[in-house]
Parts: sequence; C-alpha cells; structure tokens
Amino acid sequence: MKSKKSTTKATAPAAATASTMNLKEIESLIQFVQKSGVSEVSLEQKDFRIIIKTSHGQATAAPVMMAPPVIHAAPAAAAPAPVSAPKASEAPKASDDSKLVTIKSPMIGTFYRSSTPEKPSFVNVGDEIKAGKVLCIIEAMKLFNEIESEVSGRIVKVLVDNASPVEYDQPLFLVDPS
Amino acid sequence: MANQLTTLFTGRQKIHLREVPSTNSYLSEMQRSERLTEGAAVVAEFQTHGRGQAGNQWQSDRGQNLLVTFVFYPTFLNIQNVFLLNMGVAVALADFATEYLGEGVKLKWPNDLYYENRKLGGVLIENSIYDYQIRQAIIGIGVNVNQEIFSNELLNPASFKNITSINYDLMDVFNRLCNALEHRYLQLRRGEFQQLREDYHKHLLRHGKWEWFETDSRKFKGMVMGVNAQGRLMVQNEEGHTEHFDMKAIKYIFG
Repeated sequence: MKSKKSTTKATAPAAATASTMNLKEIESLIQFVQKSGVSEVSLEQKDFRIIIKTSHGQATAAPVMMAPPVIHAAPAAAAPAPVSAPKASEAPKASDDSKLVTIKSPMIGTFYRSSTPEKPSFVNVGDEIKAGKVLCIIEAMKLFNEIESEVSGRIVKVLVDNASPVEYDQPLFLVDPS
Repeated sequence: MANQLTTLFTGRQKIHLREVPSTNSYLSEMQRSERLTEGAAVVAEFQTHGRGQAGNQWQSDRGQNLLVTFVFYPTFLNIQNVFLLNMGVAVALADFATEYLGEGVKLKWPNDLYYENRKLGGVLIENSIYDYQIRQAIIGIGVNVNQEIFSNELLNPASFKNITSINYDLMDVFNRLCNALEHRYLQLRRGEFQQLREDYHKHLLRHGKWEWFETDSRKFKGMVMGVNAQGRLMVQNEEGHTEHFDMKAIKYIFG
C-alpha cells in the first residue's frame, strides 16, 4: 500500500541544481523515512528518481528475527548461559527478559531431559507448563531426581544439553511466567 | 514372631499385584490420582518391565522373589543430604538380609545388596524435587529370594535360597524388610546421620580391602576408603593417592 507520495521540488533545492543526490543524502533520507513510519517515499527530479519502501510491520518483525539466533547460541554455550541471558545488545527486549524465571539445579548430578532415551523430553521450548510439572531428571549416584517446576509459564530456553553434568544452582531452564 | 510386621506405617498399606510392568511406575502413576499414606507398598509377583540401574532390565522369575516399591515423604531431609536416603535404604537391606544370611552380606556402592561377590538385589529410588525439597521418594527394591537359576549375566547373581537352600515365605520376607526399612527411615528422620554412615561403611563391599577396579583409561588395584557426602566412592590407589569417583566413572572387577 502506498501510503504517501511526495514529490519534493521545494525541499531539495540543492539536489535540484546538481540533478542528483550524493550517497550521504540518500543515507540520511533512508533513515528519515524509517523513522517517520511511512511505508513508501518516492522522490522525483528531472532525471533522477528514488523510491524508498519500508515494510510497515518492520518494527515488530525485527525482534522476532533477532530472537532465534540467541536461542541457537545457548545450547552451545550451556554453562555461561546466565551471562548471555540478559542480552544487553537487544535493548527493546531487555524488559521482557527480566521477567523470565531461571530454574536452577537443586543438586550436583547428570541432567536428563527424558526418563529414558527412547521417551520424549519432559518439556520443549515453547511448551506451556504448570507448577509441579516435571522438567527433567537429575541423576546422582543412582538416585533419580525428578525436578518439578515451581512456576507456571512457557519454556523459553533449555540451557543444558541432555546427559551433561550439572552443578548445584546451575541454570537449567528459562521460563516466561506471564 | 520376628516375621510379623511391627511397623507403624511401613508396609501397612499394601497393594498386591500378580503382574505389572514395573512397581515403581505403578506406584508413581497411583500418586497422580491419590496420595498414598507414607510407607505404602506395591508388591508384584512378576514385572514385565522391571527396571534396574541405567535402564538395565531386572529379571526375576514369577512369584519367586520380592519385588516391592514403597513411597516415603522425606521432606525433612535437606537436599544436600539426599545421598543419605540411598544409605538408609541400603543399610536397611543389609540389616534385613543379615537376618537370613548372617555374615557375608555386603553393600556394593551405592546401593546394591550382595552376598560376598554375588548380587542379591538392588534399589531404584526416584525422588520428586519441588523447591529444593524432597516431596516424595519412590523406593523400588528387588531381592532374589527363592529363584535358583539365573540367566547368565555380567553380575554374578544369587538368591537367599542359593546360599541357605531354604525356601522362604515371601510374606514373611516382605514383613521383615518393612521392619528394617522403617527402623532406618526413622533414624534418618531423627537426624542420626553418623550412625547410618557408620553402619553403611561396615557393610561396604571392598572397604579396607585391596581389589581391582577399572576406569575408562586404566585398571588399577585400589582400596575403598568410604563414600563422601555427595555419595562419591573414595578409592585409594597403591601410590597412596585417594580419588573420588562418580557412578559411571569406576567399575569393580570381579575375578
């Protein structure tokens, strides 16, 4: 949808004399258009025409695009996950992340996502869970400890790989309790 | 007289099944719909999917052995001391087996029941942890009682009958196990950890003896020094150095 078309003879006298726009001017025009929130700007001069289109849904689409790489990055860096969790680089999402609840290991042991290798995981990213739901098993010296969630919400991230050792208080899951 | 149930709660509620996939799974399922009283037991004559450690199948002939799962609520136990649950159950098993077999009853770390170098039974404990508290403990116990022939396994299995040539009444065996279990559970509840630890070590297989062990990288002669607070096995090697081992990190070589 072309929400706006502006033919700006009046606002571009400098460009008019030169008949073209230099790179700097184009850059600043693009920035201006992005900020303005309009979906398309068409600028026409004698022998020069520029059309700048923006996706109107871009403002909301961008964080969605940015989220998946973070999720993929987490399993590789299982142990330092709490450090990367705040995601300071993503300013718009920072407030959302602060609401996430970290579920930690209550003991030293081996982390298992299912009761046996053939069985499906107790929980996966995106699952809605209720308090009391079994999230994982921490096995220690033949004691099989089913860890139950203390919060209701949605699993946002699994921070530890299956069958890897975990320490006391090591973060295991991120849950969005909202 | 000694064969009677003398407990306050252990084994007082009892569900007897002819056949079940696994007594642990059955009790665990029951807990979803109703909360059984503490010490309640599920006993089966036969398990089609009995579980041992690390998914090993527990093989037991129909009606020959004791296959039972109890539920306890050890919310009093600090989660850092969860291994004491293993110790308590193991010591109870040793007490109980000693009544039948006398000297020679051993505990192989962490909680297998042995007679000398032969395996008599095992334990599978499944806890539910909520907010750093042990909400419930489902304790599965399998003991070879009257079975005489075992399919060849890695572990050298044995039954009570193999050792004494006596056929036992499984009801009596169940009652005695309950008595022993409750005694040690109450000890745990009273916080008598030192006593439990001492009694566990008294029965600990290879405690203070030079025997062969195996890790991923080597075979070595070592002596079991004990089990630490986390439940790791402490083994001293011939150079005098003591290492602490996790479950999967060390194997016993039986020769």
